[in-house]
Amino acid sequence: MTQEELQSYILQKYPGFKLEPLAHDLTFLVPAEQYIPFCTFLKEDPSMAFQNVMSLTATDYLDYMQVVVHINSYSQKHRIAIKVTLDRENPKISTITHLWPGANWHERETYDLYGVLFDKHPDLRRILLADDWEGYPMRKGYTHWNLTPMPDDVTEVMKDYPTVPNPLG
Amino acid sequence: MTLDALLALNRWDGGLAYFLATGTLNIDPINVHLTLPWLHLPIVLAWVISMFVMSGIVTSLVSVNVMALVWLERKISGLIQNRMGPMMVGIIKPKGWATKHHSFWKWMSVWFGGWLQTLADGVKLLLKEDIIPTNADKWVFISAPILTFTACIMGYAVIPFTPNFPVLKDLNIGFLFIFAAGSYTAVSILMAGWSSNNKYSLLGGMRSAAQIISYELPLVLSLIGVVMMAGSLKMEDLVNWQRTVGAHHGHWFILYQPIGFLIFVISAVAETNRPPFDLPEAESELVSGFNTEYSGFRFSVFFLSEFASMFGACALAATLFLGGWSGPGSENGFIAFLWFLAKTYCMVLIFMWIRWTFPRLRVDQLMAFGWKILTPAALINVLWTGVEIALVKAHGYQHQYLYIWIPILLYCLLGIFVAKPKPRGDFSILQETS
Amino acid sequence: MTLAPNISLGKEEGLKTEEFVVNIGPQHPSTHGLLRLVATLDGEIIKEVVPHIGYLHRSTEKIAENRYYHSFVPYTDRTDYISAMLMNWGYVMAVEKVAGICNPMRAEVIRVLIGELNRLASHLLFYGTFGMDVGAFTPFLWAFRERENILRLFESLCGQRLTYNYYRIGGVSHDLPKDWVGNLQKWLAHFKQVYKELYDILTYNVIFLRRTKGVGILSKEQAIAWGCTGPVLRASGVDWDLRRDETYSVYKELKFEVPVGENGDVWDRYWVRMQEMLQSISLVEQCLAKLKELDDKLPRLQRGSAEWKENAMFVIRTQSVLQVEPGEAYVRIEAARGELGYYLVSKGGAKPWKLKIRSGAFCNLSVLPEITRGKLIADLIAILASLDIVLGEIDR
Repeated sequence: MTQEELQSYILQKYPGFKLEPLAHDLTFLVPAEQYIPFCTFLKEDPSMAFQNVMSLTATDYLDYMQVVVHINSYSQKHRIAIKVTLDRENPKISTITHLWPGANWHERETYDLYGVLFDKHPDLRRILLADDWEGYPMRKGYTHWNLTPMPDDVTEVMKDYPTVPNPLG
Repeated sequence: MTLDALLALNRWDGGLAYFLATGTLNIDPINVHLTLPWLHLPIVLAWVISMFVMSGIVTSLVSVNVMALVWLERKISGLIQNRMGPMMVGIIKPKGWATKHHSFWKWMSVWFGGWLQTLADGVKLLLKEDIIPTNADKWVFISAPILTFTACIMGYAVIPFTPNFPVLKDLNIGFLFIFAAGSYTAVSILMAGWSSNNKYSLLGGMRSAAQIISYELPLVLSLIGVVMMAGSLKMEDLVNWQRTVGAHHGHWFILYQPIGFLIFVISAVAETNRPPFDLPEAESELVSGFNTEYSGFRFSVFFLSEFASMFGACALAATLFLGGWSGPGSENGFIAFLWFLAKTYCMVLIFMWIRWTFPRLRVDQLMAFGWKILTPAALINVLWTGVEIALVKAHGYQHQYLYIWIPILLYCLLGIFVAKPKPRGDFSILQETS
Repeated sequence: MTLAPNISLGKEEGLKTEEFVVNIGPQHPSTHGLLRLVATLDGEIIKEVVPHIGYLHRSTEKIAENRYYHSFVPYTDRTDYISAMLMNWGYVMAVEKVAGICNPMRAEVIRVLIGELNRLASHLLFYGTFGMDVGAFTPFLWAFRERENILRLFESLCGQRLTYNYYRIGGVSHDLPKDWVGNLQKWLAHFKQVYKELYDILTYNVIFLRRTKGVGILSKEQAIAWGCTGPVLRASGVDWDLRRDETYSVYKELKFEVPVGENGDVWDRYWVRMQEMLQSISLVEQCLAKLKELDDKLPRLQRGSAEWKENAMFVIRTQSVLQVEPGEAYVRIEAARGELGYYLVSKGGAKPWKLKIRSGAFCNLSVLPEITRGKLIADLIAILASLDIVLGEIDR
């Protein structure tokens, strides 16, 4: 299915869903309570037939957190992205490992780095960091004595770099 | 002892010049006692001294050969792998007038350079710290490498290097002695694996012991055919048979026992834990297996004993199948020794070639191969040898080639029907040029 | 005859055996990096293998949130250090998609050429280390001899042998040097002969077949469900290659075949990579032909004209501190180990808001516990080697 057909098909079934305006791919903003039904629909509907999770991660916008799932289908040759908005202080969402086993390690990594708790995950523990690490590093504002951010103000640094005009205008 | 040797013992130098000239060093204690009564040497002491001298000579010979083998292994592996091997320690460089033959010296330095490498490695290993793991079984740990080396080198007592110089020349069961002595390695490797207090070493030791005892059976069975044809277990007789018996003044056993030779080579490679049967020491799986915890000189003893047993297996193959020390001009002991060395090194090169070409067999495949394929093949070989001997006894050696080539033909036919031809890759894409 | 009552040959009171926990790694000659496998064994049979990763975690994604877009390219080299060009490529493609930059044709052709050459180098390394793990020492050195030649070509191109930092947002960092194409063609002619040797020494060798055929079978459904991509997926029978099915760059104009295996065992994964090497050679030659085409057009193009900018330039000079509009994109390429995805979120400004690297090896490794259950420990090494993982990519 092409992206337009996919979009219209899904919006037909779930008219309340919005599209992410800033995304260059087809991204649906899904409310948290509709997450599992929507994913089940995506897996089981024969014209959707999404077969695996390519990537599952979270983004920390300072007011809220969003879990982003990219899933794809080899048989129907299409892809989709799903975003679920979560509360930043207490991010909880259901797991999708029962639908797509490949999400297992991705969810562990998201828990490890962002602190998103996945309900009913078979083995939710830290994967990349040490087992006794405290804190969730990828969250904005995480401080560590060894972390030195680059300056936010760009103008001082830009003075040293030559600006080359873009030949394509 | 021959008459000349006996008379030589009465000379002023005790026959030393005679012995050096002829290459014989066998001292028969009874005759010594009879010719030198004024020394009043007790027979046992004379015999013991002579045994020590000969054993010392054999041990040093083996050790020097093992040093050379380690260097040869690294050189051959390098040259097979498109690189040059050790080149630095023992540089071959011409001096003076020889420098103008540049390409010859370059060739020499590729093929013979780095010949002192083993010495450097030995010195390095000697200077390493001697670590014994805390919870290791101390005395078992210490004695395992010594026992392994002893087991390997005991077998050399009966191998005929020259016509007069196996250490135990007149041992009637010489052939059996080698396998009795060598089978001790199974125990000592298990000791090494167990005493290291390390799961990897234990796994390696167990695997190795299982492998060694599985492959002893085809090893010995493949040689039964040789023994049947020669009619004796004495090593001297086996070599002499190859020199004298047969239609044309001796044929090597490799012609009469080709299947036995193949089975022997494969079993010997497995017995000495060499690739493709080196799972006990597989570096990528068990980090060196049973010798993981050994360092310094103890490790070098294991290493040397592996090469010593490989050299022993090659020497045995050369003796039993390739004619031992026989060859043109081998009445002189020294030339006989050179022939022996040449044949042994041929076998050594074959062992090394096999090592660097094939991947490793998995442990269950290894055991299946030993028990299900090699042992039945060795038994069939014994059966066929019996048939052959009966036919020869009845009709003489005229149609001997039939007896040799019929089993080979049968095996080839079996192979063609059972084994499928290897598919070639499709390299057509490589021919397209843009 | 009845047995005495206290002798029981039944299974209820068999020999008491214990399970044996073996820790393989993180320092181990064949775990391809810092990987720790905790294997619960019953004798020689594996009950469970639990991979522990994270020994090489360098917080690349967190660093990305603090670097300007151009400055992050060297970090992508260090993720999959064996095929670093392909890592660079995915990242710059992601930035170009979000920033809306289109590249000149010459840059795209050079990108494909260099990417395929790097894929070839990566597969040569796989071949060598796989052979060594299975026990054959010689192919390792032959493969590395050829890889050495490729690395020498790369050194003459961009000065680096392992972490290239060659791709730029808008193209590549500099054009091919003068004699480079000639050297590449000479090497290709030599490599075609060597490839036949490499193929013959292992592929149909009896011992190798016994070690790898029927071992570690990954079924089609398992491979798809667990998110395996790349040669692992193709060996299990799924005909999917991002270069052909979700085409990017110049691939739509290039002809190549996608090798697909039958059984999904270790031998198939090896075979698929060997065939991909052949396809890479063919793609490299097609790219050379395209470059020659572009070069032939060059004298007729006016320098500075629109057509020249489209065809002959090798990089669009974007400002060194690139400001990107808000947007997000998930861009994927077919890297040597599978699908390499870069999910880039930009909130405007000079630095990304978030960057996630989805590496093929991460998902390929997650399937290891499934396919090794019930197998022998000697197979574990062969299976792990056939998955072709690089810990830099997994841990980032």
